[in-house]
Amino acid sequence: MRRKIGVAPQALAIYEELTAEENLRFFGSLNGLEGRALGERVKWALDFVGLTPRARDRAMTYSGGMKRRLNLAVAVVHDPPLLLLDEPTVGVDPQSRNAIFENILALKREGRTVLYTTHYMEEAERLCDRVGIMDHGKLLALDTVPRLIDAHGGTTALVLERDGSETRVETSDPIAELSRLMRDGGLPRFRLEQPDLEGVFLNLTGRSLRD
Amino acid sequence: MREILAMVGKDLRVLARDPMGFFFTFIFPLVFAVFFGTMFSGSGRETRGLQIALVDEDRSAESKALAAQLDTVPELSLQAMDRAQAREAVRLGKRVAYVVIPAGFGESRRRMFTGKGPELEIGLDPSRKAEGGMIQGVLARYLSEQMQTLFARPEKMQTQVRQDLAAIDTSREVPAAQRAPLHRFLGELDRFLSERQADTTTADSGRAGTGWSPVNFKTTEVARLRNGPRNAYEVSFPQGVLWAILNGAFGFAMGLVNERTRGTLVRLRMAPVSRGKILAAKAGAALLSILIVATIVLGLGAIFFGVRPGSVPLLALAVISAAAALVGIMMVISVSGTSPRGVSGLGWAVMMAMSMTGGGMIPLFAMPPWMQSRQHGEPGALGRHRARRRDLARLLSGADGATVWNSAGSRSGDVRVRDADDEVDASGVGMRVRAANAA
Repeated sequence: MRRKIGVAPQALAIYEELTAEENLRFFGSLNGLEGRALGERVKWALDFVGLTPRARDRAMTYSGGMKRRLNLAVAVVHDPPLLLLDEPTVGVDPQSRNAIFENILALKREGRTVLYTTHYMEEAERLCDRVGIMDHGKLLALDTVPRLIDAHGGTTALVLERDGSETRVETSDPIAELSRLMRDGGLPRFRLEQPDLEGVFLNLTGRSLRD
Repeated sequence: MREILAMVGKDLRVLARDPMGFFFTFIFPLVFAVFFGTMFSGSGRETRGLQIALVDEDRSAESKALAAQLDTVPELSLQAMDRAQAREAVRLGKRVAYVVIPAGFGESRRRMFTGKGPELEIGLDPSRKAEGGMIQGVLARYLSEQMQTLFARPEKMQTQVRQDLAAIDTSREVPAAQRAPLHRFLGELDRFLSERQADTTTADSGRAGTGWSPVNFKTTEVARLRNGPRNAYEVSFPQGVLWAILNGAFGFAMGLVNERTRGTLVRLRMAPVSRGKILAAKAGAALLSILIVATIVLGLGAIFFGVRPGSVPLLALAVISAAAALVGIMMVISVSGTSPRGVSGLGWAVMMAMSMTGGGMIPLFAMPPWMQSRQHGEPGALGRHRARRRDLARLLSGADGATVWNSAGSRSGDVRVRDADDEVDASGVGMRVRAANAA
């Protein structure tokens, strides 16, 4: 069962004294890989996260983003169908973050199940088919992103700008509201604020600070 | 098993990549052993047993020959002084004793049968009678050897006999009544030596120098100081091994905590590997590194520094046992602590306590009797057990824990001798050796 699970903990669970290749070989062998199969999977994992050019450098010489990518590579080296990724983009540069997103989407396209933990709602919106909102260890909601927004995101807001001041109008039918404004004497500058996953999260968990 | 080997290999590789860890694991024990061994050996050569001041007041060819011969005696380490200096050196404890070759020694040696006989004076602290007895024994042995040499070389002996024959009538030391019998005895001896000389030069020249001797010696193992460490390296190298054992065991404990704090333990636990295998691999890596270091240190000690284990199998058994026991203790400590600092503190506390009670820091003789007997059960004290005592005690003379610090007092010169039961206690290191005294 454990061989079917790949884990990328939030802490960088790699041996910094070892090279990327040695890290991958070690964890691959612990998960039952050996010989040629091990070599091929190590090579694949290095290519997958873009660390092949630095494969034989010790991890301690890597940037934070490279270490994060190696952390992910270790999780997938033994080709598990289930991946548990705990905030895999914490503290990385935008390029590495984007690369990790691409990696995860590629894994998803291959048909793997990815259980992704994050505090960044835009990551969940971008990567996840289904999102669970948890608070204090309780699962508060679980559904696709559009359904969660529909159910818990609240109404759309129409923000109108007149004489340098903004007026916020919450409405469930923004088109109808804009038509009414035109009939009444002209359409001011406006923007539309649609509910998103962050709104869902805050609506479900409240706005008080967490310990 | 494959997983365990993979984890052992990983741990050793991680250790090898950590410069500080590598130094303290593999290099420091050797540096420690060589440094302290050299320091306690003075010039670096082997220690030479009892430190003796030699006062030559005769300055004859015979006295110089005796001095030269005594200088080759491994049990003694001689330094020439005048009488006042020698007395002061003994008084201050810088020398165990002094030996005076008095004026007239050479003359009395030349007149073996007509004088009082050679006499040597030994100056000694009264509390060190055992050493005095040993010095007398060594001197007697070498003077007897000189006598034996004379008898084995008839031409030299004949020269001396003829000198005595010529001096019989004029010597005040020889009573008048003994002169005639002494003439007859020495005359016969002169003839006997002439025949011996003829035999050795014609019939069997290849065996000249053997044959008749005034006394036959039966050699028996006697309580000698060399039953303890023969040189300072035989103390410092085992202590270097002890450092390796302690450091390896401690490193193992810290390694397990580090796995936890840096998160790799989560990965190990998520892998299809049991907890037992994880612990076995960590312990195995520690044990292996300890054995590698011990082998290197003792091997280099044997090759370059004259360290000679009494028994290689017992040595291996002692190292493996002590290492396994300490690694086991450290395993308990490592799983009971949650932070590196906590485990480090607890680890040192336990090792210090073991050192204090195990003879590593407090000499055994200073302990109450119940502690003296109890400490034999401790892992670190295993090496001091008296099964083939000499071998193991020599091996692990410093015992457990913090013998590293103790080594300052572990010079071989700190040996204390109880003449009642011939029990030698290298007090600085808590080592006891009961020497078999056939006498």
